[in-house]
Amino acid sequence: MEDHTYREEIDTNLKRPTPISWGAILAGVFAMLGVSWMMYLLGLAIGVTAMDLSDTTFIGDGLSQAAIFWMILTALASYFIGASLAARLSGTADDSEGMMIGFSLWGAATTASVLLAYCGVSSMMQMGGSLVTAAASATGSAAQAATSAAGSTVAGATGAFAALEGTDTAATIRSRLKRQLATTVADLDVEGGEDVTAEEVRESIDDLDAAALDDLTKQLIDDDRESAAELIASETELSQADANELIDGVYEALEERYGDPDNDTGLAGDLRSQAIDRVAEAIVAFDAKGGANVSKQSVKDALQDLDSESLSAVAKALYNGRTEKAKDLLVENTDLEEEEINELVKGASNAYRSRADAVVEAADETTEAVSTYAAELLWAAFATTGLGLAAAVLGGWCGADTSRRLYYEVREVHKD
Amino acid sequence: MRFGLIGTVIVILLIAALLQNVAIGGVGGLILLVLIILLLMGRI
Repeated sequence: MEDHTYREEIDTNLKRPTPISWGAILAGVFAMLGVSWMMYLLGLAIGVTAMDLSDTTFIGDGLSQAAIFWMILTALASYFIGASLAARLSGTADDSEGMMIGFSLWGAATTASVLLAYCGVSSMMQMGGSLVTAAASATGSAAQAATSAAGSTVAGATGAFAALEGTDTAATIRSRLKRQLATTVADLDVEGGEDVTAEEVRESIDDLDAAALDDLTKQLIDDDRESAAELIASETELSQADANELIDGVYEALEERYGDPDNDTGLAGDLRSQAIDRVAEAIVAFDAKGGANVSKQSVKDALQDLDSESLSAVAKALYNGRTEKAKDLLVENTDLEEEEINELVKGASNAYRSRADAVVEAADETTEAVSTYAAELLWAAFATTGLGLAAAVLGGWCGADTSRRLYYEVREVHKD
Repeated sequence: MRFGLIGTVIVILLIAALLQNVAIGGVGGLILLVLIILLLMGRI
């Protein structure tokens, strides 16, 4: 007897409506965004928000428990409401389909929140993408702030001696130079007969790049009018004579503004004596206590002998802690007594060291606080997103369950 | 019943807005959320 196994294929691919309803999911996404926005505002009002990343004192306290709790509550409520709305609007009565709708809604809403964060609406919601972006940028800017703070201390330390370059005075000189160029252009236009049209000169002024302007400023500060005029003539289409006239005009204006009307010294001399006055004040303030007394006048006299290069060399040596080199430079270039120099260098070096150390320490602390805060925030964002997924799936399930309970009659069918 | 409940909560929220009272508004808002969830679940 032979056994025969018959295999029968049954086509179960019946026509059935597609269970997914993008309209319902879209409505759910909007409901979810609206609810989370409302919860965010409420959190802001009662002070449990986690979004104030610009406030470093706030960050220093760490991410509060209340903020984490509020983030999680927001995610649970908004995803649950959005998903159950989507499941009910899609009209499905199947629990699994409801859960899948909840899952799709979670995906769509997460993508939407990341996109919103990318578009700069970082405070729109308290979850996922927005927080990741915000935390990352906060860490970055803290590190940047720390670096620039340290940098400016160095600049401040050397700049106090090297004086004029990069200061407000230099910036004013630069802008005055530009204005004077424009005025000259206007004069040329009135006088007429020039080969260069006003339009051309204006264009060439715009062509003067920052480096050329810096050079011009430096030459003017050094009283080097000829080089400045040559630079103008070569960089622009102005003739040498026009350039000379222009530079003379600028120089007179500057002398009037910054120079000392009581003496015949050039602009460079006046600026230098002003700078030396300020630097001498700073140095005397560093004078180590209990040592030989160094008067401001003697420091000032000494500094008069230094050219600006040795001045910055001394400053740099002091800042880098190479006190011996600073001493050598001062002994070589000034007529201060050895003992006076020792006292000055000791005082200045200590002052710079402690100030730089304080800045570095503060920067380290800020970076540390922000990194910790960002790490906590990222962890909370991850937990929030995960719980949001759970809430969305649960919401979809409950929505489908409600549809079935309300709109479908379920009968037990017993087959005999 | 559902309209009565939601209407009452909205009136409470309006009063909170007029008084600029965060406490009343917060509690009212949370109650409104619970009501919406119950509504979605077909329980009210």
